[in-house]
Amino acid sequence: MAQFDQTGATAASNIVGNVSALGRELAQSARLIAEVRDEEVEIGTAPKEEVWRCDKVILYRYKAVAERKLRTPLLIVFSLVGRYTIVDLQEDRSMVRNLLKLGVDIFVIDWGSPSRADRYLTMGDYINDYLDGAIEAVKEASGAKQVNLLGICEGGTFSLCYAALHPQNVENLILMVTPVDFHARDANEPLSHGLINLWTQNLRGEDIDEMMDVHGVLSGELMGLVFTSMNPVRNTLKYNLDLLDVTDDKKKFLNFLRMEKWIADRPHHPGEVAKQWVKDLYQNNCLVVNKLLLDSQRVELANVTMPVLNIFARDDHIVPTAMTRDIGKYLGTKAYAELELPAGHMGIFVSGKTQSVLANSLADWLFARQKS
Amino acid sequence: MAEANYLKMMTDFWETAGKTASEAQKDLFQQLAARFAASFPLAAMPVGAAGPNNAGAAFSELLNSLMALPSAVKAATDQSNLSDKKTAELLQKIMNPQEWLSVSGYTDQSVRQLVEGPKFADIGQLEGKFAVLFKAWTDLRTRALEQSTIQLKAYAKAAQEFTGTLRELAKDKPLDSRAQLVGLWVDVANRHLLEAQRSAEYLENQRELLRASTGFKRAQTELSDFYGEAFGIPTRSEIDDLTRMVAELKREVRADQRRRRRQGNDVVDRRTAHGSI
Repeated sequence: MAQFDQTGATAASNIVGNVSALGRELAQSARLIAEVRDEEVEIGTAPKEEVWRCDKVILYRYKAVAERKLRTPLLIVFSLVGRYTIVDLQEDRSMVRNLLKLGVDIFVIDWGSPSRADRYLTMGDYINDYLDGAIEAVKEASGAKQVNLLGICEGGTFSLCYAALHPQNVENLILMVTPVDFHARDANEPLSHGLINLWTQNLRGEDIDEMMDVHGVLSGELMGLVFTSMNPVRNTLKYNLDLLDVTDDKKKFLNFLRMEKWIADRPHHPGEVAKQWVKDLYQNNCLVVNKLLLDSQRVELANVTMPVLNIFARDDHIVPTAMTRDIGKYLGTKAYAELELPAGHMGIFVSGKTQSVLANSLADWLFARQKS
Repeated sequence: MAEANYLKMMTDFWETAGKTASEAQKDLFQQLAARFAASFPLAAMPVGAAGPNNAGAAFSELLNSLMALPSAVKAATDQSNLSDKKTAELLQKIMNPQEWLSVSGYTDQSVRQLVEGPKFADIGQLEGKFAVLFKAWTDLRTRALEQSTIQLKAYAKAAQEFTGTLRELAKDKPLDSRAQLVGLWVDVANRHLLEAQRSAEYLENQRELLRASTGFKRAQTELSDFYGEAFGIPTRSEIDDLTRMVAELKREVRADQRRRRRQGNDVVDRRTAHGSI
């Protein structure tokens, strides 16, 4: 049992004496909260138009801001765990806006908000129906015969599966913070890394089946709790103390709120997708051993013969680098490249350090492969 | 709002989550035992080490033993000549075990959200199903409390290390900013929490908590389905059957659309290959 030591408390109280500015910061924080307007924390505001929809899935095309120099359009496929708006969080933190300025024609899929009514949707439905339908719509809208496919996190895994099953539709494949080898671990990884792997592998298969049968979905709230638990104390304190660090700068304060807005909006996973995601991938690692079945079709990674750029984040605690680095050995392509960026899982999109390097590297790689 | 009120609002905000969670948990098992005994004397009460009374006692013992912590911090801050009492209050709250429980309270809340549904008072007198449901609820609360206890133990270890480190630092290299103080606490407490969340004890509890939450929801659904059938209201299983049928039909429609689209493309391709036809 913890024995509390008075000397430690006295030391703490001495520090308190040096932080009397805290009261003023608290007041400033409360004042800023009262002043902020909804429109100031809007996210994903780059202009775009709907070009296709199927059930709850919508395909958007971003409006060009510069002459389109890359002939093959880029389709962004985000995870079901969060919203695609992270790629355009705000004007000065936007992979989308940076790429548009470089002349890339960009489409994005919005998966919508699955509910219990979608519980029987499978990964096969998402990949062979929705993603395939969106790609056909991109081809029709742009006049291109193929797309450049950019998948993020779980959306990267979906994109990789799609590229293996329908390689004729993909000119280049870009994976970002994408889990591929679900059993790969780095022996020296920090305590906060790989917890999703540990926790999902801790569960019994029959318990996962029963959970999805009873609830119908893997709830967004539960996933939010999982992410919070991966950095428990830091996440618990952020609304009380982190907020204080940005009270002297309204711009930083709004950045904080926009990120929180994105974090708070977590869609549910359809039950059948969640079962495949947890059991077939996290538990049985089927993808890298070519045992993953989608609509009875085996996903053979050797069929991924188009050029592949794999971008990952050095400090990613959700998809540790071991899960995604060096996956070229599983693929059929000889044109495999990697780019490691100094950021976290979503920090890769919103960090000031990665803003220009991410879009520029991605565009350079695509332009270098543009067919004449 | 006056500045002083802003300060109160922020500190109250910090306090509320922890206090609510801990007070609710302290009372929970006494109420549970009383209600269960009064309503269902013959129903299956969980027994043994995992029972709610044992879990509740272990939790209360740990919590009570740690409650000396904030008063010790208060005594120390009272002895100092602080002009900013609100800041002192904030530090006391950081070291308050009731605040730490806001984390386990969050878990509790998420579990509750998973099992939202009819309240017991609405369910009626179907003793058999009611007893199953009540046992499932008891199991769920027991597992949630066990998880809170694991987390509280980790916080206790963190508090011990944190105060020890502060004592050492006070001798040689005192911290001189709030950021350093908070950073130290976050590093120490995060490490202890993460170690706990990787432990065999936690993983076992995590499995059982998940099973208990699913078991409760299952019992709840079966009870509501019983009423659904009795009163001609669609049951959960009937709605799920319909959902499955609709999903399969839509899958067929999408496949048909895909086939037709590809046939159309084939026609276009043939025209392109052979000129106009």
